[in-house]
Amino acid sequence: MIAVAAPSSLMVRLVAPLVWRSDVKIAAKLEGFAATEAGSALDMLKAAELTDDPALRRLFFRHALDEARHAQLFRAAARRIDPRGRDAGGASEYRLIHATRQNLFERYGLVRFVAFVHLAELRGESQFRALRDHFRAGSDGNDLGELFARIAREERFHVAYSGKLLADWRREGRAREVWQAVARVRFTRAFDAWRRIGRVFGDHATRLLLGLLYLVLLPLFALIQRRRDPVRNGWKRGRRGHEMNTLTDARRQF
Amino acid sequence: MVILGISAFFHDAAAALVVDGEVVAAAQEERFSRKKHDAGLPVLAARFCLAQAGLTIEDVDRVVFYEKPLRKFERILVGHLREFPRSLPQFPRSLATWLGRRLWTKGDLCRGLGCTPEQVLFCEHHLSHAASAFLCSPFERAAVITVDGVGEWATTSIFRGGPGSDGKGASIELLAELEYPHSIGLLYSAITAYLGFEVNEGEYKVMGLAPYGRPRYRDEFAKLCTVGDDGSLAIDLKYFSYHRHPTRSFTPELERLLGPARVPGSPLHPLNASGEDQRFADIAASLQELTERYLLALAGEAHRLTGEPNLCLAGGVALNCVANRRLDREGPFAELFVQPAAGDAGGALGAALWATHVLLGLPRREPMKHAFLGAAWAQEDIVTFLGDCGVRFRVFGDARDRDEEVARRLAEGEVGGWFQGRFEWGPRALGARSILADPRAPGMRERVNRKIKYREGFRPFAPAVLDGEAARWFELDGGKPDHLTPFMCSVVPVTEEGQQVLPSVTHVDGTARVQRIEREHNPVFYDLVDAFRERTGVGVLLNTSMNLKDEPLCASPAEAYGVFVRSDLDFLVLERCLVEKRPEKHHEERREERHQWRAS
Repeated sequence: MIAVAAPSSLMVRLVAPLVWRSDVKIAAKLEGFAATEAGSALDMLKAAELTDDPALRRLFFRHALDEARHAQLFRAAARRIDPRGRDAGGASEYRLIHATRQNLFERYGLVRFVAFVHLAELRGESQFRALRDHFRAGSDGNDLGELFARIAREERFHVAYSGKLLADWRREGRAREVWQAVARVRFTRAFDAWRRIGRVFGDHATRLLLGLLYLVLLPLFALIQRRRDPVRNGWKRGRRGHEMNTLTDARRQF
Repeated sequence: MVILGISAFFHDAAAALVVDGEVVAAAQEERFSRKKHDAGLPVLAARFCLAQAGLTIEDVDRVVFYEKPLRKFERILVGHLREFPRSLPQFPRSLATWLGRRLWTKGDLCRGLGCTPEQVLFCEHHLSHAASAFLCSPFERAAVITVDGVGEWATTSIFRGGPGSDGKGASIELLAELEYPHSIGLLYSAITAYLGFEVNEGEYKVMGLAPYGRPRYRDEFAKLCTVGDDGSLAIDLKYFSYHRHPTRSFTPELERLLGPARVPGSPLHPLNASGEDQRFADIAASLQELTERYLLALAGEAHRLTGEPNLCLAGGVALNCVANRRLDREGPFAELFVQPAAGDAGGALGAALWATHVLLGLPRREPMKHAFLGAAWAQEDIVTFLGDCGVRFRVFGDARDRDEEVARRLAEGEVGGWFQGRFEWGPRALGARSILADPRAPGMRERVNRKIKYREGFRPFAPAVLDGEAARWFELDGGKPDHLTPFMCSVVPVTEEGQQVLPSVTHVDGTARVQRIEREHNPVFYDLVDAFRERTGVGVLLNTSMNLKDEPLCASPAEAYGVFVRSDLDFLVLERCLVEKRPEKHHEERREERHQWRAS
């Protein structure tokens, strides 16, 4: 599970009784996990394609197949728990298969990508273990405890191989590079969260400002515009047909 | 002379490279970024185009952007002024977009592509469309019609294309244009939204839905817009809000006229339609009829203005294959050409060709004969990839063995992925990145729709037919040059025999969006369909794009494998390699693998 920053296991333990309280909500959460896992599968497949190292390629590919299988398991569980889903028909079917690739390997490069995978898998594994404990403690009747236990076990493989790769690179004298990659991933996660908040705030502030400008500045110009240039119906002919094919015109953005 | 064309910042960003008049490469950004309709600067697509030609950005003489950003901005501002104060919801959003990015297009191009400001030129939006059609066509002279949502100001334009005035290159002369907000493209999109489909994506679905209905909303559509005898169009804006609202393109007035809009994502079963589903199908049919009637009127005006015998059509509306066929059959022109990427992606190609032939006067080269302008993967690279990944696969010694095996599997009812050569330019899979099945099998359409593509059950699939067999299965106009079917740009009636033998590619109205395969231009795919013909006596395959619903067409082997593992495909062919679905590894086997890596 590499595509999102999962909440910490402590947080999962605290909020699980609230979030996983009804079949509809459980199915929706499982669908969310399925989408994340499917997206991870696509990113890992792309990484497998782009890397030149046969050993890494095999690992990334295995990882991709695991993620694709996890997506299927989550989807199957969601459908079992809430067969109708939130809506019936093709749209519902499609929602269960749709996935988005984030192009992480291309954006990050090898070492940072592996660091990202390692940290995300570590977090995902602890989250799934927390959910395993939550469902085992209760009697959910849906075998979700076993599902999370199985997936958490496989996530350990992802944690292990990515951790081993980082350790190998450290031993090979690339400790500084690995340290920087891990630090950047941690920093990026925090920075992205800050940026998301900033973007939302900035977006609202900009819209408010532009809305005010609209109400203050535009009325007069709107009046002039309506008097001078009403909407034209019908064909407009004879517009500088030859001028538009000159180099001078081609340099203009207007 | 090296010219790079770019379209970006609305939807379907793309890059196209023309070297000395020859189209070397062209691709949409979505194929590389995997974001459907990616609108960002097509850096990856441009990089691919240059790499394909073995060039760098320093080797490029001109980078041509497919529209005039400031003229478009003028239209946005004037639109807000005209609609004051009702444009308040849209104003902050659109202005933020423009101030944040689109006003600085030239700088963005230079930063993103690494070119200099001196290299950058701008071509008008509809001129780019016109060039993409005319300069790829086999015609020396032609009328050119461009119809889409909106460019800078123009929504519909009529051009005359011909040789350059001094005998060099080519000329494209603007004769008449309709201006925003009167747009058949925006009307089509607004009704698409009304029918609960996504704008810029669901228009195909509306076209597929139309044959399930009857055009019994003719009178209501006559209120929405007036089609003039001169091919002009006037929209009654009280029914629409696309010109003033950021997300809702129609008003409650439209719902009073046509009834409540369909809730997006709600079930739609036109196959046994009744009640609301039938009403939606009837509305789609009425819209389709209006579009066809309008295009015919437009063609009449273009013919009157130009006097040319042939027509080129471009813009998003030119992707309406049903209307194209009617235009070809009933319009006043002898021949019709539609370039396969007729939408905004095609603007990149048009801008590059316009600069090459019209602006710089280079002579025109061969017309476009095929659409395989994307990236390819070598057989050795695929073998290495699959081998490194530990995938079990078979390699065929020669293509003939592969084709026979694939034909056998398809004839036995299997559905397979087909990945060969360079991927297609434009939205259609033409045999390079395709999902293939037996069109004779009843129920195959439902299977592929539901279990493989995960899309609505009513949507039809296209047949790919051998050139020599086309007349047996489909009603083509014998003797008349056909420039549409090689690019799947036309819908034609299926013959009586075809309707009996090919149920999975025959739409409810007895038509099909046919791809006619010519061996000269598409030999690999032709040979496969020929192998199927030898085995079954039918030279037709069901051919749909290798992607899942709402995802871009696959570009690389890994993406093809991603489709393979997430769908019910039975097999996948990557060049000469065949991958089959096999049972999951035994749990113990997987546990053993995991143990090798478990941290101590």
